Amino acid sequence: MVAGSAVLTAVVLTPFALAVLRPGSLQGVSTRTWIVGGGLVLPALVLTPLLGWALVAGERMQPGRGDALRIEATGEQWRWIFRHPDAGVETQDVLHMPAGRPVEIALTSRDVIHSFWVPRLAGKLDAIPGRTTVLRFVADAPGTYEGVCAEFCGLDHAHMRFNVVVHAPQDYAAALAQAAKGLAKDAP
Amino acid sequence: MKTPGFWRLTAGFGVWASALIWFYAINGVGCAMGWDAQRPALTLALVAHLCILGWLAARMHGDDLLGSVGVWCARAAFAAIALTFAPALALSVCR
Amino acid sequence: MSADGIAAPMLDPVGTSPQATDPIRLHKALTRVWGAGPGLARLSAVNHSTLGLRFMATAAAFFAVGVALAMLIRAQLATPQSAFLGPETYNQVFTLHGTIMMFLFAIPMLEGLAIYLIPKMLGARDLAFPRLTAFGYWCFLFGGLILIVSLLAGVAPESGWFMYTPLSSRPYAPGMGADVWLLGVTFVEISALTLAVELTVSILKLRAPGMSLDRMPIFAWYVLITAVMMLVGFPPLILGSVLLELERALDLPFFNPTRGGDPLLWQHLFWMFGHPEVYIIFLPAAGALSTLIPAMAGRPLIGYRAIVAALVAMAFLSFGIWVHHMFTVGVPHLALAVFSIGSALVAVPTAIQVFAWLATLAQGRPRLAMPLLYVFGFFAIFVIGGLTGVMLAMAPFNWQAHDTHFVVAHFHYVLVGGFVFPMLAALYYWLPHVTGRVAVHSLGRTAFWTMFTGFNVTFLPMHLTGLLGMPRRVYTYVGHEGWTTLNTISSIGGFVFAIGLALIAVDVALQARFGRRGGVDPWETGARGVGTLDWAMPTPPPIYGFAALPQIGGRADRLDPRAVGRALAAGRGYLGFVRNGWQETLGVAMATGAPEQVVILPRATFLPLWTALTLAVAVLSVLGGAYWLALAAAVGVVGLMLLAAQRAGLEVDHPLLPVGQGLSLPPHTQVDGSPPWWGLVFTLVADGALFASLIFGALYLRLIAPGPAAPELGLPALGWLAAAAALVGPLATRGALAANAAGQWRGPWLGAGLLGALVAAGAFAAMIATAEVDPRAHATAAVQAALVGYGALHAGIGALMLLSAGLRVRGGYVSAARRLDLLLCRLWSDYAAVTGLLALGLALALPLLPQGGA
Repeated sequence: MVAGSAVLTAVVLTPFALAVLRPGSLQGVSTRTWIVGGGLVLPALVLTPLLGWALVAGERMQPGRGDALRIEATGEQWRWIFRHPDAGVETQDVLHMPAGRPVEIALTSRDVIHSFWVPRLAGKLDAIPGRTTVLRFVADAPGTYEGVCAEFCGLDHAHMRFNVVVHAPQDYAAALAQAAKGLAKDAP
Repeated sequence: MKTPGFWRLTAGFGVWASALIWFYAINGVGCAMGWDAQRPALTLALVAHLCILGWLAARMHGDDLLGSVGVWCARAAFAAIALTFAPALALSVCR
Repeated sequence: MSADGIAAPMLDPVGTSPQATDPIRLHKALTRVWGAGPGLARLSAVNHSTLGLRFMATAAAFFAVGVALAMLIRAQLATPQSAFLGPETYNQVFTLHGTIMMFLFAIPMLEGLAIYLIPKMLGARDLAFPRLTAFGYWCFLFGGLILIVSLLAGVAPESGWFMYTPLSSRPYAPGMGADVWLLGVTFVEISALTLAVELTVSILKLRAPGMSLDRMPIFAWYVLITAVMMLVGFPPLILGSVLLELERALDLPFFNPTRGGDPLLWQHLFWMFGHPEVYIIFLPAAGALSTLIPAMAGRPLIGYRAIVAALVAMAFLSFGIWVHHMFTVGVPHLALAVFSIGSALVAVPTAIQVFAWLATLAQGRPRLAMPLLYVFGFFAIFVIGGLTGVMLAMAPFNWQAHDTHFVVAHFHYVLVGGFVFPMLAALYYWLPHVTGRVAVHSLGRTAFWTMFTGFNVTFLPMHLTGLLGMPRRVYTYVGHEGWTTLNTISSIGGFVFAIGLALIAVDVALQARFGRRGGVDPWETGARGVGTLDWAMPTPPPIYGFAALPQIGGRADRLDPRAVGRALAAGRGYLGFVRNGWQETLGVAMATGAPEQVVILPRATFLPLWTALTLAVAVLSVLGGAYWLALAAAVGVVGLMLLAAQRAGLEVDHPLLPVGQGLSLPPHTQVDGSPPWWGLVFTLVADGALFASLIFGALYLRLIAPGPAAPELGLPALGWLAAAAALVGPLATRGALAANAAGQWRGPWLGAGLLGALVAAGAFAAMIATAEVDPRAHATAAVQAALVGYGALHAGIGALMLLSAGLRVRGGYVSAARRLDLLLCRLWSDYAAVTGLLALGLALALPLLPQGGA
């Protein structure tokens, strides 16, 4: 898209430069070419493939296909609580998940609107009080990925960060058990 | 106190606005109520609006500014309705 | 018909009281009537030139404050974990930066330009409601000062310029800040709305005879369409602000999800306003470009009709794409696609204008002057902004870029590129009009390049900053993310940008003080075939604009301003005299421009200032919790408005008034389609948009919002009384009109109408007070109360209008020929009855509808 934008910017600025610096050089271009060609044809040629790609890609990312691991995430000022309903485990500001498997995060909030975003793994989705929204994605490779809250939520919004630890599929269950123990240890 | 022919300016996109309201209402209320089978209703809304717009555009007249602009707006609105709402019919209704 | 399109001037027939045929005497007589006086009397000015300049100057001052706040933001973000500003201060700073730029700079600046230029371009002496213009200015000034002072007092709003709930609800924003935003911004927005009504009426009715719609300069089309967009686009925000303030003050849970409300309702209402808002900001700037590009190119604009069609398309489409600000809230993909495609489609009418401008330049011989330099800046910057906008319209990309600095970069490119640069071009183009002097210094070019470079150094890297993951509205960052260098570069650029802006201010001041005198039509628009009437006058312009009004025989953007100006200054045209000390201009038929009426405008008065001051006292009292003072001030405002109504119009019937050129016309008081009539019509368009938003909110909360089930709801029997009483008004006003025509007593009819309106208002209010279910218990109950409250408010205003009409009947202002007051009462009563019945019906039906998402 960046390359395309550069081209389109040139498409507009070049006639401008010619008109101003070499007056008369574009006299031959008809009004129809300018208005219909530039105003209708050019946008149509650019927007149609863009939209086609966007709608197809977006459709593929929709949740609800039933094959995903479900994790619940609750945002509150100013931390994230993650619950794994199958394993009965709850963690704070750290999300454990397996690699190579679709995961659906069910998001909600206890107070104001937050937004769950791990830039290197997926797009973001808002966590809204009173509602549950579902974000579906696949983490390809194991590793630790940093996430941020991406909706302004008050004084400590800037520090409302979390980590996503993606495990190789065989290590995932053990990691979850470890995390459960760790939280029990830290509990007051 | 006549408003001669101003309707010609607003008719085309007025129909487009109505299409948007119907689409949003059917989809918004439908998903909230758990009605997943919205596509027939949405398609009907789309086709009905295109027909109404076609009928209105045929009755538009005049070489004056309001008339010629009105005709162009009607054509643009027709394209806008078709392009905006038709592709959506192929996509996830409530997700 | 002479070659310049003006009908050959005829000798002035002698009017009822010929005052002056000598140009100097005419000028002095007109100045005496139209001027406000020296010293403090300047605060009573109501004429459009003075007020337009005041709007623009005040907007520029607020802009400077906004820029200073931006400098604070950039200083804080230049380095990671900076201790410069803590989050409490930072959150107020960025909230006010956005709020000032959007509400106190952009809108008032474009309104000021429109107010200054429109009457001149259309060949009128002023706008339709001069006292309203003044009132709008004072409301803008006082509302803006309230917002600015709040920052100094440490109680500024801190929930972001779009104030998402629940963050801006009382539990999470317990201080005064959110109320300052809600009340202050509503104060300013109502003033903007009244100006929108005035501009719509003025463009449609107050033009020079012969100026049909297709002869109108394109700038007038831009402003007309923008004004109508404001009428429909501002009410959703006003409604949302009222509902949120009611939630904060009275605990009505419109946006509270634990009691059936929905935070997303705020977002819908806000963006239904917010998206058209940015086109409202862009279009007048584009109109300025469509006017000055032909002047720079030396040839008329290409594609006049295509542009008008594009404007209509853009106006409508901009109302159908607001959800693209909400792509990450979990909207179903089908709905998302509709808004994504629509957002892409709106690029088409934009492109039509861009290429029409390029065509105009390409087929002309552009002169290298300062405005053209800013046109280049516009093309370069706005186009980039438009392209990133198309990117953001693609949902999968949006899911990454939303709420990051990529968006910050995008909207600065479109707003600075699409508004600030064209406005600076307009500044350099029309500065000779305002000051009478032209530029001679090269400081302007240095200022431009400094500003242009600084802007791009600030915001171009910011696209990358956002894509690297930096969210919006963070007061600091850790330092390991890879954002540090980019932020430092942006901050350096920011300071260069600010220096550039300061240099522009210096250059403008130098030109105003030391520039060479420009004379009439300094850009030689007449010689280049693109002359408009705004140049057909001396520079700086006299307070009354035109000494006489022209007859237009051809396109009003292909005139010879010098020839026309000479003729008009000599009084050769319509109304080339002063009669009875009146301020007169002509009203025409909307489409054809055929002359219809003489419009007699109110002279300078302090009433608008007092009314705005009293309203400011009311607002401050509410903020400070002094509710009795607020009530007293509100009563005071109503009283002052009634007083203003008492003095409008004429006390006797008049025969047809000679206007020159052998024509005689009735005064506007004796014509049914007069400016005040149309003013109320368009006010009701805005009111209707507010009502439609309320209906949307009610249905949304009931049918779509998730949340606990509502308790059983009903409505007391008072509903029947309210409905019956609401119908009295339409009947009584019709009776009054019939009696008026037959010369019979109107008082009893008006009295009956007044009684009906009072009973209706009381019944509606009592319904809320005696409701079975407390409106605070659940959002459905709250929205029922809101609907009923709407009915009460409109019945109450109807009562005030009938009272005012009754007083004016007693004062002799109403006769068989002068029936405007009764027409206005009938129109309002009809509207109040229809909406009151609809509101009642919906409030009754709401509990019967299924509750969605429960």
